[in-house]
Amino acid sequence: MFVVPLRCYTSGNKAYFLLRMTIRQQFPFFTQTDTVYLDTAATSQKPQSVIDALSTFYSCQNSNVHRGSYQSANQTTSLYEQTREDVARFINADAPENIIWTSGTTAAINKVCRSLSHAFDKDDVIVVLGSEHHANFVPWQQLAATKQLRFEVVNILANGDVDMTHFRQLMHLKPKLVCMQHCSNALGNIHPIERLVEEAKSSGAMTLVDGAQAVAHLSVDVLDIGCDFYVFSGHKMYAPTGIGVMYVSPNAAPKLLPSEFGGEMISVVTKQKTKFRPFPHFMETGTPNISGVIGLSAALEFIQSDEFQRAQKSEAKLYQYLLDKLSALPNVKLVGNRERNIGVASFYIDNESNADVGALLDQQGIAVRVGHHCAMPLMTALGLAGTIRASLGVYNSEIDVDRFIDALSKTIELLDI
Amino acid sequence: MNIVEYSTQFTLSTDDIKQTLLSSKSWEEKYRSLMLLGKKIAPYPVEWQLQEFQVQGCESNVWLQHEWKENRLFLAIGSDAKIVKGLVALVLSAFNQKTADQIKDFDTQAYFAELSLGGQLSPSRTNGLHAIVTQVMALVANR
Repeated sequence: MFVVPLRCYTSGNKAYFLLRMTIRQQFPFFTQTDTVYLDTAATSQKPQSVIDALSTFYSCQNSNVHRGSYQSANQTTSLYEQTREDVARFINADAPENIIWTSGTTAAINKVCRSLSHAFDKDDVIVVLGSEHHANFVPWQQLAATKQLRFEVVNILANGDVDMTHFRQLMHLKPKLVCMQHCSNALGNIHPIERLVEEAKSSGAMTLVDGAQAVAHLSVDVLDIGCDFYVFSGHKMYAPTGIGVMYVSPNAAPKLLPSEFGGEMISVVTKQKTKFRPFPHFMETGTPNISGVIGLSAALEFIQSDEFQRAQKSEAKLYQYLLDKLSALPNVKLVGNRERNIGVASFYIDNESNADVGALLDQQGIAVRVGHHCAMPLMTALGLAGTIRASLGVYNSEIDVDRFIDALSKTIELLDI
Repeated sequence: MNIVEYSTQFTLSTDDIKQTLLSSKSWEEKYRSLMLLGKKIAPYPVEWQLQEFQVQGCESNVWLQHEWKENRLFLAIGSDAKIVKGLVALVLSAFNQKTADQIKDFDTQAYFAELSLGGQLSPSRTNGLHAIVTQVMALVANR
């Protein structure tokens, strides 16, 4: 077990520090390694309960869903469908029928893209934010190229926020679809998503929100946001990899067409033609990632636990601690809106290559992400080759931040040759 | 300046490299020495920093140009990262101005392992060393 050093954290913060350390004990990863893990924005570590759920499923419950006429298959199906209800409640969706399983955020966006492609005609406009992850940028750019649509990118301000003036100018083009990230993966900025969606809708657009970075940090209410699609991945919210969610609003559902074909999504197949099952059934075909869904169910329980919720509330304090320490180092330049942020410190060091910084941090057991973070258009707009990104999870504490800062000071010193 | 002129400015041998790196007593010292070795490479000219010379698979920018002269491979490799430059010095000491046979016979794995930098050669690393070595080997194979 990790021994808490006698370094004193101010008394007011002690309670939340201890709470975070208790939560950390639920993550076996940290008993196996001494790594300072500051890459939760890439993927989160998994609590024991999620690992146990997977193990129990494969040891005791394994069977396919929706097909069996026997008891264990029915039990698995009911657990699987129960999770759909839990996810619907988690993001305040209308009903479980509005939740579609995918393998992740990227797959969900691509699926919306294919299922909706028929709705676009030449010269229709698709708008994305300039800070998007490539997953919410490239599919739309490619669709636009194939169907001769107009692909417009909203300008980004120097702090990574949306240039609202430009956003409104683009809304005057009456876009058919506006795709927006809820939070920036590269910088952590929380965008004013309700306002963006509202303005997009009032210009007549459909809206898709990439919530990959948001779900583990913010309480998400899709009805409040009012978007047509809200997509996210399990693995960034303490669930396994390979499971993701696509929320489709009742309003948007009739606009979708089947885009993947196979078993389960059909009602009648003859040699001449196939009749599809109604929405949402035609959106899911083939054996799904059942264990992923079961793992997601455990992760939801973890995230909604009182303990997690209380620890999560202290994230802002820990984030401020990280920012204060970083700002005190020479030549560290922070990027992004640090007032509205999900606990991401994105920065570079004047005149140093990010790759060098990353390599020397790695030598000291610090796990951070270095590079363009799959957001090249954003980096280009900011005039940066990339950044070093330290992102917080519920298991991080001041101990991690202190070790990271010590390692970074040493890195800066070593690079000065 | 042409490639041959540029590349003959680099004169460190693998023995020089070993002597420098193996005397380091800590990882800090070793990385410092590595970066200092990188400084021994003449600055890679800005006008050569073109996309067509860029080595794919590196997190930082790496450019590679070559010329065969009198059966020897003359290399010009540039990078904007200090550690990568150090690793490039290691590559140059092994391959620069060598014949195709000398390059083929050189045990790169063993060399990096001896310097306790074996891990840096892994394709999963983003430093680009693997990509650089692969490209040099391809130059020899396709000659």
